Amino acid sequence: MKLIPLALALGLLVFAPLLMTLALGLFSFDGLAAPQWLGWAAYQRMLDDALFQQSLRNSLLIAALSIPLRLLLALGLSLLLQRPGRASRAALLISLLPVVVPTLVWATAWLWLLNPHFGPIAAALDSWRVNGASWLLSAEGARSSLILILGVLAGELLLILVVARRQIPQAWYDLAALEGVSRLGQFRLISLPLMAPIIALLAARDFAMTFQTSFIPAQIVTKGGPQFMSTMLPQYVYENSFEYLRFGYAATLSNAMLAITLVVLVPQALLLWRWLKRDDNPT
Amino acid sequence: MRLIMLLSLILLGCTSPDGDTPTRQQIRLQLVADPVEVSAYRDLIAAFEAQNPDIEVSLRTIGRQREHVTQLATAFAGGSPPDLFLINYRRYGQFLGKNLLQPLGPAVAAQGGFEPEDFYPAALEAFQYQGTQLCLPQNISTQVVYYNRALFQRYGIEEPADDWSWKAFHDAARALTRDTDSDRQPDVFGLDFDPDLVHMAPFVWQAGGRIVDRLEQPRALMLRDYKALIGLMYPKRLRTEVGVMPPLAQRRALGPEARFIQGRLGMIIQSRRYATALRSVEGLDWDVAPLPRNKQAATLLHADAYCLSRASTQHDAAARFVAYALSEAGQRRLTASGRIVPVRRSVAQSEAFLDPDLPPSRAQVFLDNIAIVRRLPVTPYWYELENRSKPIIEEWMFESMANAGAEAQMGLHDGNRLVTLIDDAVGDLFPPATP
Repeated sequence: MKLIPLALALGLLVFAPLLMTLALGLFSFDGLAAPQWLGWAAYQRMLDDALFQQSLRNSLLIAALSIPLRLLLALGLSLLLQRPGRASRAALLISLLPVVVPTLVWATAWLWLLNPHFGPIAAALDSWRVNGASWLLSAEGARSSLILILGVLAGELLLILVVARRQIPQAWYDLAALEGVSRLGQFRLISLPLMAPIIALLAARDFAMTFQTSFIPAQIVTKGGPQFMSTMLPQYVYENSFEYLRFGYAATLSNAMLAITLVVLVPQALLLWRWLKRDDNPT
Repeated sequence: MRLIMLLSLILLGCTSPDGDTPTRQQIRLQLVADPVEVSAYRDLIAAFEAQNPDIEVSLRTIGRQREHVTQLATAFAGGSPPDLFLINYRRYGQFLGKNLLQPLGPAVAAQGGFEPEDFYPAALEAFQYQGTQLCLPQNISTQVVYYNRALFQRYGIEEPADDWSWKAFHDAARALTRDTDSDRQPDVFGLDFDPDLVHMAPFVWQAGGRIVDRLEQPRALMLRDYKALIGLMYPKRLRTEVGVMPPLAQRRALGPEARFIQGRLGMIIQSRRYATALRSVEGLDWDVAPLPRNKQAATLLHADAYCLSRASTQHDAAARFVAYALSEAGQRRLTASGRIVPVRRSVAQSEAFLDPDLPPSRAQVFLDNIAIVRRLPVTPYWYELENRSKPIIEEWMFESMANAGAEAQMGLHDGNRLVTLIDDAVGDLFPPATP
């Protein structure tokens, strides 16, 4: 009985829209006239669409590089900030700031940082003899910028990993130290195995989020350019639905996005499940 | 009985003491405007409401054209569009043929506010659909060259003539480009504009080329034609060979409009709406000139019109507002802001528009342009075609010659390369040819 409100909310807010999107993906629909049946031709059109292919490649590449960067950053900082104290709290608070400000504000700040004329990053790149003024004008520069912008958004992950680290009894580290295990060894033998399920879970969640929703930096900083080389798939879905009234095609693209997310996440989930099961039943 | 009495009391409470105050009809108007324009529209609405106390106009202003179209599209799809909206003819194609718009021409004519011969036909034609005056234009702007007169005078350059050529344009842009601090980098540039299809089209026409195969229901772009390529290559050569335009990185840091306002740009190609912003800049000495001519003179129509949603329940009230906005008094009010080239001939040719005390002193250029104005197609996909081709043209125009390779050095081959890129990006938008 207690679960009924949750089930209702999930049904209305998640599963009903999901089913409608799955169905709409088989139609041509502009929101104004009646939908027209396309069937699998809708997906054929998507496969032939060069902009879809380009934006899919961009999204996968940016997710594949920004998520490990973010996880490594969060993991490293969580080990540094493991001891409770004023400095640790202040550092945590600072690292959380980019997460709590709206993404639009975060992206606009980066627009200033990367400004080719007066931005500090462009100036730094110039001082390293990299042409900072042209940084955003190349495909590599634009994508690298997006990876950096998304990669340093590590505040929330950091908070979770700090808590996870603090759950590990200090006595285990003390014991390992007595046995002569180095700090690196302690990390490899104690911290990493015990935090690994949480890291894997965060990686899976971050993939879904980065792949499906985080396109505001691309919209603001690179505008998808140069020549669509940093256009992300959710951005392409947004343009098709809300700018060009192709709700049917946008649903087709969304369904493809969901399928790709599942293809990446299901093996991760299975591995995680087997791992946890093995830990529960040690032989 | 008690229930009836209670309802009666509630109803009595809802009426005014004298019981006969009419309910005000409310119409929602959505348009794109910057802060200066907003005050001009508010002034127009206040004057209308003073004359029509039974109607209240609720103004919704959007900062950018792209968001305006997005919000309109979603509002139509959601079934709650604004009663009236102002839109450029190049962007209203996607709302055609879907029974979304109520023909405004007949509705305003019924109010006695629309006699076609009072208006410039070029603007009216852009908003006709299947023989009906679907929307009613409020302005007939065209692309012109805004120039910094002080820079022309400082460098001893003759001001643009009314019939200046590509050669004169090239020479002026070159003479205006200056390195003022001797660091071997230009600090003042001769020319800048947004290199998109909208701004390239006049150059193509001036060279004798075409943009599409036909204006009504076009089936293909015609940019690969030799004359069209000459038109596309002309501004590119100004950028690469003569170096009169800022590099892309500098443009991204400081857009052409801001650079012109700062006095670091000699010429910019824009439509009338830019005049409103320039009038508010103190100390900037500027004027307008026609676009240069080559084989022929040509410029692009920029006209915005009021459109009425079919879903609106306030057709009469909306038609009354548009009748007022297009009346002599309404057009004069908006003209005073500097925002529009009025579509009503009598106002356009009056001192309200040609006021010699208000810049630009050569406002007559806008009216002379009407004789040579051309327009782009009105189709459901044109808006998307412009959006998709914009980054391609911009990057082609401003690419580094080192990146572009040998082809870029080879004149028309470079133009062909651009056309291939555009065709690849937008080719699927054109409807398939029917046998």
